[in-house]
Amino acid sequence: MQKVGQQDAAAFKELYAATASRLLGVAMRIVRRREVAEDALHDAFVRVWWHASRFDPARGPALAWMITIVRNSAINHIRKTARETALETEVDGEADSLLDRMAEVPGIPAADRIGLARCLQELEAGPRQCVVMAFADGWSHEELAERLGHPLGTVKSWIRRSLLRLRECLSA
Amino acid sequence: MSDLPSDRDDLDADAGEYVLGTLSPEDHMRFEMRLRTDRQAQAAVAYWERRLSPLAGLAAPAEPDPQLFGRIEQTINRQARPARPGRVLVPARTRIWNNVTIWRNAALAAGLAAAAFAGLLLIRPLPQGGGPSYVAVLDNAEGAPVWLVTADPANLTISVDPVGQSPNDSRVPELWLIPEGTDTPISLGVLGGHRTTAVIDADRLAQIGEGAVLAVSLEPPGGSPTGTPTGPVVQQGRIVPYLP
Repeated sequence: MQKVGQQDAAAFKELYAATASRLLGVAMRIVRRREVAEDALHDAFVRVWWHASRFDPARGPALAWMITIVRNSAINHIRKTARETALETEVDGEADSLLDRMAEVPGIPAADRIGLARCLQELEAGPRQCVVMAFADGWSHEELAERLGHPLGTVKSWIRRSLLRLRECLSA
Repeated sequence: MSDLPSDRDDLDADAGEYVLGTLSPEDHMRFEMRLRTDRQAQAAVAYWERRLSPLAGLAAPAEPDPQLFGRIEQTINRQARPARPGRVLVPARTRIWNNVTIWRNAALAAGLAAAAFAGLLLIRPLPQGGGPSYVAVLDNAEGAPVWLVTADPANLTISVDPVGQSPNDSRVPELWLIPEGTDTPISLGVLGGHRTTAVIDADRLAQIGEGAVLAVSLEPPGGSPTGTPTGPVVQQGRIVPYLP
């Protein structure tokens, strides 16, 4: 990432080769349409190129930073173009399988994955589902409330309370 | 755990929601503005980016079109190409600020990193005596222009023209400048429904340059009571110079 920050085109190409399919998957799950997901990935990599010099390795894995950029880009794209209405809602199931369904992501420490799965499991099912689907599907408070059938205020307070509980559990 | 939310809890929950993407567009922009200067907020975001990133494993990887990387490179090269002078002909002495399209196209033609810096473009129009030296288009979240800011160093003035729909809000818009490398927003004044011109000192004008940010927040009538933004930031953007 430091090399990309110095505008090293070869390093940028390597970074793309190593991460593009994983990041496109993240965008696809949010926008559900390949061409929109590719547009989101395009915008995200352009942003990575221009902002790489500001990335601080002490902050954590570069991929975690790139995931945020891709997710933001994907969420922007769906807020611009109305989301497909015929979208199939795959509501996230039981937490028991969360660790199994959460594939290892190269570049993200395995301990982080196991720790997060454990702490998510400590949440109640409703709040956990909201946090997981907000991240994985890019759903807003309103979309979560409507699609999961909870009052909007409940969804909002679940998410904030769950984040604080996750923080507590993860630092334990 | 105490039920009383502390400032620390508020920051961590805001940062977590920022990373999840569940903040409203207004709160998202407001938090982004805070992130520019607030190291605690930056650290809180980095924490959640790292801690939530394993959830990316829920999505199945998908191979991008082989041509996508070429498209990315093309965009970057286009944005990096230095602007050439005289590519955009703007008639002198017309009220060019009425025509946002000209500025937008000028900026795009100049190869500015519009996509990378969505929000605001500050460009230097063709050199001509007495005219404004900088023009900025301040967009809302949907990309529609809302304000046009022109800075005229010769007369030490900044003028702001409303070019879009004013926010439908009892609060009033206030314009802020955050110079590069500082964390203190400087109020440039409250904006009205018509052209607003403020006289500013030369030092301040000199701070308007690359890396600076202009932002509009909604404040109580009369402007922010504290001297810093108190309401939601409804438009903001980084200043990008047009280099002829």
